Amino acid sequence: MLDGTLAIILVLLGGAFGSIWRYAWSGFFAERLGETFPFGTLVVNLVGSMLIGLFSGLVARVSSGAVASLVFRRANNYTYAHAAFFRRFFGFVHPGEISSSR
Amino acid sequence: MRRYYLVAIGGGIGSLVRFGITQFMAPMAVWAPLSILIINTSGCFVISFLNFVSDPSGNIYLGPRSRLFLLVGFCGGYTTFSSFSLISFNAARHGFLLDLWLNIGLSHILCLLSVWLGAIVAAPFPRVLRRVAGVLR
Repeated sequence: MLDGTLAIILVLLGGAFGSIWRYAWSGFFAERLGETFPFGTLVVNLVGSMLIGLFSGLVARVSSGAVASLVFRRANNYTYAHAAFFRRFFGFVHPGEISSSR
Repeated sequence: MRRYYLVAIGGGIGSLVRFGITQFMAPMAVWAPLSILIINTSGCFVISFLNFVSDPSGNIYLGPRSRLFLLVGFCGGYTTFSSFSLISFNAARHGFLLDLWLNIGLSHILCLLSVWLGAIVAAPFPRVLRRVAGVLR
């Protein structure tokens, strides 16, 4: 469904958007609540975890190909080592699904 | 504005490296979370090295822009565990033990719950989509 080049472009774009999103929110929270506790990073991680759960659920159930893969990849890059780690760790998804999302 | 470009390009490259590693390791018959574990560990090492080899004011080795590109962009896109761990480590280093455990505890428990919540919200979607399609037809 996704050929190599398209996958690379999607990952690049998703990673770029996700990083800006994350940077902006971290700044937003740091400005308002101070630098003492990393609320920004925490909130971004939480929202990202929710998104990856939502999108992987959608991909698993709807599996409508490229569109689903696109949103899933974006969520994945939005942050989400945490989410990916736990999802894999608890075996909600089969190995490979998370990385290839095909 | 330029700061955002730096973060975006760094994040794109970091994500691509991460994706490349997971793709490379996907066909290997190893413990499934291993690729993510390797990414997280190496990301934490890299962000820590870059952070402590330079200084935030930008006087040593890395300027503020390079730090933004490498630490926030590349490492952040590569794995969020890097910034999370660096923040936790700094809290420990300065003796803010409450912050340290709050950060670790809240991140892990709430993130896991959030993934669960996302999956629950996603569950009825095929039915919803079919209904929408039915209405449109």
